[in-house]
Amino acid sequence: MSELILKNVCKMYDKKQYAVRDFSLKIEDGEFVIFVGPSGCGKSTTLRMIAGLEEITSGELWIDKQLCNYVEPKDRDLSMVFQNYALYPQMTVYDNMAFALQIRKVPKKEIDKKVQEAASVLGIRHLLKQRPGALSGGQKQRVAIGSAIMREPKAFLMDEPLSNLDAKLRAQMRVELSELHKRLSATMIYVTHDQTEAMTLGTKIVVMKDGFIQQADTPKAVYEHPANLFVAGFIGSPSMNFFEGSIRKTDKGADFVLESGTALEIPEDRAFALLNEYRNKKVILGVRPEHFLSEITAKDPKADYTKRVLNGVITTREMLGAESMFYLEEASAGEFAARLPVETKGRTRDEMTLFVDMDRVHFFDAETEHNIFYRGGQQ
Amino acid sequence: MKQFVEKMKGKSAYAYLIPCFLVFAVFLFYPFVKTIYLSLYKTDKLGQAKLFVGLENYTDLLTSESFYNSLFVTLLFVVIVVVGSMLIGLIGAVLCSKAFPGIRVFSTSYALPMAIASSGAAMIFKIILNPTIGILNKLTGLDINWIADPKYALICVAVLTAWLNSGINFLYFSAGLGNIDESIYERASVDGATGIQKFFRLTLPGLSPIMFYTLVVNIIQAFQSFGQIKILTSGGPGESTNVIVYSIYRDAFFNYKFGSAAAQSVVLFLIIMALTLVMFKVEKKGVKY
Amino acid sequence: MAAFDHSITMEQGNYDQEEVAKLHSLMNTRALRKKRIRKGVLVGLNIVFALFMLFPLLYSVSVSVMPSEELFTMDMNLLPSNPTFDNYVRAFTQVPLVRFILNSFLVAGCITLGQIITCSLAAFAFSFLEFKGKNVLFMLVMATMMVPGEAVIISNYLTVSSMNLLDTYIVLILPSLTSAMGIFLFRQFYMTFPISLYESARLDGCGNLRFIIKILIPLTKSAIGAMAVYTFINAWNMYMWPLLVTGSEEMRTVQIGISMLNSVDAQSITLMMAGVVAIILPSMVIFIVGQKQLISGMFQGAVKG
Repeated sequence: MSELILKNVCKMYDKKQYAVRDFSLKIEDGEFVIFVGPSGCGKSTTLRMIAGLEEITSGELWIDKQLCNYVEPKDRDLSMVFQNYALYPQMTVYDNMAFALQIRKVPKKEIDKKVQEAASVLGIRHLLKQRPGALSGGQKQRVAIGSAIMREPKAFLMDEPLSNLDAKLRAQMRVELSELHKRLSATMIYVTHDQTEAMTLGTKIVVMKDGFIQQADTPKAVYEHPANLFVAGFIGSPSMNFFEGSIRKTDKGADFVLESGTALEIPEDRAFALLNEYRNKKVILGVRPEHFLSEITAKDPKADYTKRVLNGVITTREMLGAESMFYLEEASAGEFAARLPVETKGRTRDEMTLFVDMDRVHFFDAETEHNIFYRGGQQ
Repeated sequence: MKQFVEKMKGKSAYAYLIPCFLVFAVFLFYPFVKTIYLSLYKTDKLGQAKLFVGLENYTDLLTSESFYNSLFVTLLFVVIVVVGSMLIGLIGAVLCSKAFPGIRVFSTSYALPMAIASSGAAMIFKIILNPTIGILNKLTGLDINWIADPKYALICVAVLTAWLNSGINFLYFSAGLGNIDESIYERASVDGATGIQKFFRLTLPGLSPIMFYTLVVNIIQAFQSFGQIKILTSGGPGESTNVIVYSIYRDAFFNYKFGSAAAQSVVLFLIIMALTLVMFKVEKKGVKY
Repeated sequence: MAAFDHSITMEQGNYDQEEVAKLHSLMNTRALRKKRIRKGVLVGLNIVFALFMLFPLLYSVSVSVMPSEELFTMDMNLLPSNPTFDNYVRAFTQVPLVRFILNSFLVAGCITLGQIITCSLAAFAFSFLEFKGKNVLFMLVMATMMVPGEAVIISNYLTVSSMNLLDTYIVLILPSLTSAMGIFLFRQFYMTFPISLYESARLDGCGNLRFIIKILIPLTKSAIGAMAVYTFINAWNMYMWPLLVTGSEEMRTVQIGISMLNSVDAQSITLMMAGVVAIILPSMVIFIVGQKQLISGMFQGAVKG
């Protein structure tokens, strides 16, 4: 069993520039944790601190109840896959995979067995005698992963391992990685800037920005209950639409009013809280593209969509297959995107009426950018 | 006329080669053939081929003890020079592989020998090695007549040559070290390798492509050392530093045996060519990238 | 399971904040000390090695400013106690050192310029033009690298002496006007440019020569710089050829001229060192100034595996 705990970990460069601040996280045995965020958010730095490749400026790193801040990387018993694969160019694939065991003086027979085993799992047995220079990107990737799974380390660290692959291969490797994780049931910590990878692979997602953790939760929770404006915009593709506006009291409850005057009725359960704290204050409304309804889909008998209407002019329409993406222009809110069934009518420059599924939208404080209804994650 | 112009356009490529091939032809191809030609003749004092003797110059060489001595001396010399200069270059490159204050000064001083003339260096060493006033004996407390003693003379010129040739090796090895991807060291430390394991399993193999290139260049260069030997030992004492190149010079310009000198030149060429070819063969098999 | 050094780690169950803080400060000072020691050792080793490497040069400078009676003692005399520039004055007056230096500059300069011209022309043809026998000719050029200078020097000597060229600048310059190494270096550089660079220039009506002067040369400044430094230093340091073909004092280059000072005459050793330092200096200065050029140019193209 292995368990990693990071407690208020900070990384500071040149005694002034924070790369990572107050990073606290508990990683349980067998979790597949994804650090995700835009470049420069400190995700790779955090991973490298765990590996021991960067010093921890302050805070504590516990691996299996041992304080590991000052343990040399070679003694931490981790294994890492690098973004550029970092294969040893002068060694054959076989030796690349065997390296970690060879320097541990594991008997040759045992090494051979493990290499053959890992190579067949990854489908690279025919490459064992080749050198990295002769391999394609995908093959190098497999070798790098193969080298990492030779041992049973306390955790696998992966630093953007798929970013140098083309889109098709990336999708395929994603599936394989996911299967590998299930097979090994090992702890994995994985860094990526690609939110799709994060959503599909992780059992827990840690969204980072400017060195701070923004939210750490399951993919589902992060998607459905983003902690703040940044997470809401970063997770999900195409990203969430944001509308600036204010809360106005009505006879029944409350409306969200856009600058253009368009009013959207807020469901009762939320109206009260919003009125309480945000009456006449600036609020940002977040709507995912799939939470728009067209005339076809808005037939839910329970809901009354007549007061949840948004009009726009279609600027672009994209076919996705079963669905279409509509990019529309609203009078004050600017461009926004809606994902609607492919049968939906509408051509470029047509006016279009959409209904907003107000039960599933998000409200953000315009100043703090926090999700007003976020109740904290399961950290 | 038009056709002629068109034709010339197609041929104009050769015009760009004329200057360099003219020089090569007059001062390399022609004399090379002439050397082979001369090696088959006895010559007069002015170097004119007088009497065709076939392979006699060669058979004379192969039966002369002096030639075998000179071969052996050359071989020993080349080995010491190549090993020495590569080792010095490698040490310098490793010492300068990590940044530290003042690195520019140090890296310049390790590369500097490549700018120094063999004649000037030889004269400096002559003073350093002088048995009575030389600083080497004073510093070490020894009393050795370095240059006049056949036991040491060859080592002295070889060390001097190694020093002279080490500058460019430093540059090669520095470039080679710079080409090694930093992240493989990181991976190795996560994999559990110690510093020594990293040096022997990553750094040295990582240098192997450039090591090979450097080796070839060094061997060819070492075979051709002349100035320092002429000034420091003049092939002596006895024949102890009479490397082939010096022997060629002596036979041609002191003994006026141009035929024999030419034969030795041909042998020297054959040795260098054979070594180069063998090394490339070995390289194709052994060192992979 | 890896073996931990238990002094630098602790169990999670039984620790308190204070202990951790103590460990932090202890380890931080330890790490700092380790870093300092490492750096110190590295710098120290470098100083030792650099002194070892530079010793002959430093010593020659030291001797060159030593009065000759100081050199001739049995005592330790690494540094002169009464430094004097007398040796330099005498070296420059007793031997036509200035003439030698001018000769060498002229010869090395012409060789450098000539090699850059002939090599870039040839490399241009080899990398951008198509013609019959291109590969064979290129192989021929490469093969010349294997021919040791000594294998042809006798015949060359006989050639130039029969042409009555001995003891002229021309004979010093001519044989070195091209080099396989230079052609190879330039070609490596030119090959990094796409052929479309040449084709689009041709479409714009740019002639071959203009293409070389206006486009190739500005693009390959670093290779030319490297080539210039390397060629100049080698030409400056030529020994065997000038030794054979120059007879009169006026024609001697520095390397040959300086060996005229090479005698065991007691008085002249310090003088000789002054001369040696004087002639090493130009090539060293050029090397130090051009070092960056040399390295970037040489290793960008030539030695990439």
